[in-house]
Amino acid sequence: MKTKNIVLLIFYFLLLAAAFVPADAASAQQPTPSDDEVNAIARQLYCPVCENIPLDVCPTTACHQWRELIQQMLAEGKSEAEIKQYFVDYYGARVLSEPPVTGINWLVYIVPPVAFLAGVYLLFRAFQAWKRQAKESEMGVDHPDSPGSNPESSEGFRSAEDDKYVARLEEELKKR
Amino acid sequence: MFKQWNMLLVILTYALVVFGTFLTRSGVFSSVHAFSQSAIGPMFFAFIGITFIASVALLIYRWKDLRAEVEMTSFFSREAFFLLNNLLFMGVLIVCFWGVVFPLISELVTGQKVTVGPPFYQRANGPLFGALMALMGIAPLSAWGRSTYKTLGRALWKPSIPSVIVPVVLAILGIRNWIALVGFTLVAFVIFVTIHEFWRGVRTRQKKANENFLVALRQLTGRNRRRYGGYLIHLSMVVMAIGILGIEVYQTTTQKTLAVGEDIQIAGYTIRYNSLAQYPSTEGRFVTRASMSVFRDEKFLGNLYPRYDYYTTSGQTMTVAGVRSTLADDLYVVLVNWEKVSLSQAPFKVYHNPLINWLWVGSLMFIFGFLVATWPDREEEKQQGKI
Amino acid sequence: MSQEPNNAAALKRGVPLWAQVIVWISLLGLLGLLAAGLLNAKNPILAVGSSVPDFTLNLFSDYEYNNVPEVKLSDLSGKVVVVNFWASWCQPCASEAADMESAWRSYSGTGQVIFLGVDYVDTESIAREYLTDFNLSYPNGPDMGGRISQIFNRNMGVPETYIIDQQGVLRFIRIGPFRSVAEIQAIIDPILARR
Repeated sequence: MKTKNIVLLIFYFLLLAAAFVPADAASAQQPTPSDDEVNAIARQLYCPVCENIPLDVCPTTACHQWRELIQQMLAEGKSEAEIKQYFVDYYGARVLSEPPVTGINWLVYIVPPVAFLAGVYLLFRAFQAWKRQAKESEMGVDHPDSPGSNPESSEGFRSAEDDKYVARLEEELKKR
Repeated sequence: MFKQWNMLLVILTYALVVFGTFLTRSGVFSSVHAFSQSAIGPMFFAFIGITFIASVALLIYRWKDLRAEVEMTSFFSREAFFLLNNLLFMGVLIVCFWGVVFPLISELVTGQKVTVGPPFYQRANGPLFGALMALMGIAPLSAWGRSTYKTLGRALWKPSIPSVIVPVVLAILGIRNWIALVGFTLVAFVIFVTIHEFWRGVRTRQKKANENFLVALRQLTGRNRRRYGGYLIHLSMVVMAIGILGIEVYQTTTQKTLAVGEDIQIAGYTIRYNSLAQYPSTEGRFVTRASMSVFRDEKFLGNLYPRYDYYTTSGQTMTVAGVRSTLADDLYVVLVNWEKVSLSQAPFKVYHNPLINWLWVGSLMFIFGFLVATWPDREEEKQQGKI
Repeated sequence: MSQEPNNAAALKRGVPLWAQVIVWISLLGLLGLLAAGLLNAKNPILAVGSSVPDFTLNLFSDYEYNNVPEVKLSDLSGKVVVVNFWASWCQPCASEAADMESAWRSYSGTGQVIFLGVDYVDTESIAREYLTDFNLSYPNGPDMGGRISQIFNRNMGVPETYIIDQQGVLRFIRIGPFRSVAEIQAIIDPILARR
């Protein structure tokens, strides 16, 4: 880095440090949290006023105040969980990007997997029914082979792989 | 079987589009687009009620008439994979639908407003899309009707071997995030399967018709537009997935207030703040523009000009980011206008988005694949007596 | 292709009853939900003439009411209650703040009227500065979790004022700032008189 930049940085740092000289010398204070540390928490929160805008990019004055509040709380040593809890207490659960798992909110997390598993089960049962039905219909026809047998024999080819693919190609073409 | 699925999907498509429009316009969710004070809400609701109820009633009434003959004999047949594919898409539908409707339920039942945001969707949809990607690799190798795990396995083993090497190579290169490892492996798998399918088809044609490689490729694709166009579309989807994985897993961002001459470091880049200019432009905007220089490893890469425009008539601001795009990544610099900007110092927010431009590459491939798959076929039309 | 007859019959049955029940219940449930949501959206504000549900306002630390740092609406029956929603980031709120304080002072002696200031979606430190700037002496507190504002207006804005009579019935709604002390008094006096 250039010398000029280093000097500027030291100057700014001293300025910031001076602003934080504690009146009560007994309480230690951490250095000003950077924008990144504030944003790391702010982007997990949503603006309590505007619809669906994350707190780290919200342009209103109120959001600016809240980001400063987060900065202050971080400087006081509060943890991320404590800060988020403060926001929930003050502004309601809508401030979080996911509903907290209380009351009926656990439904959010339960319903999709349960519905999906129900779908899997239904599909499985349907597969079995079709397989059984196809097997039965096949046995009605004069077919010496048992179902699920090696398809190579039903094609009547005993040649190299490529020829098999040729046959498949022709079949597909005809099918279209 | 498929007729029933078709009808169901058609009804769902129409119903959900109308449903989404209703949610926004009626004021059920507060939105700048809502016409909550007009009579649109109740009329729209009546329309939705009639459409949904009539569609469901008719579908149930006609259900048994829609049944087709089923020749499915195996869990590994293409029919089975097709249905599994549908199931996965339905899964995505349920996740998205539930995430949208739940805040409404919560507010009506408990009076408390909640937000269902990105983490929910990422966690729920991620595995479903991963499964869909895996299916894109396996399903094309299955056959209609009959297929055993042996035949499928035989078709799969060749593309699978290089696919297994991919995560090992990535891990050696330092990638440890499991989502990235699994995601890129699936991408590689689908790419290998698709290339293998093209290769096999071309080789077969070459043997049969004695054509050279390119001619064989063209003939192959020309005569099997839907199949090979479909393969190209699969390929485009996983190329898009590369972009999505890059940005979801590896995006970094930083914000800093800079004085003139200072710089921001992110992802190996150094971005120096040179100057700020403010001037009125001809179209009724007042522009505040910053000049930045981008370096990496001491090498100068170019200048960026993030700015924001203040439109005097409406009093609204529009932010225009300075972006440097390559196939490897996007460097996205925003002049933050929601913090204090003065001539001596200005706040900047920088996003580093790796691999994101593969999303656009994939989109172009998708369009190309779509054209290949749906281009009218002269031979087909001759057969159908159109020409 | 020969098929056993009962297999064919089984194929040709319609949608099973349990599936129909589930589908219809879900569909009607969804439509009911949308209807309720629509009704909600049409009427976000508590209607004049309706009884106001009880709520508790936790006061800022410098405020007390009857030596307790919180106020319950149910404890205030018999008085006219003026509930004013404000925020430190709201310009029109600042324009009416002085008038609110003057109006309060004119009634505070009688013990018949109580003003409650509810700080809506605000930052505590800056809210306190607002309170000291305007010297607000009536009980003020933050709207924790947004619960109190949800009772009056689901799409709450600031400033808004709700005046409740001695029987706990909502009598007056004002969206936006008051323009003068006289305006406030002109609204409260008739309610006070109607005892």
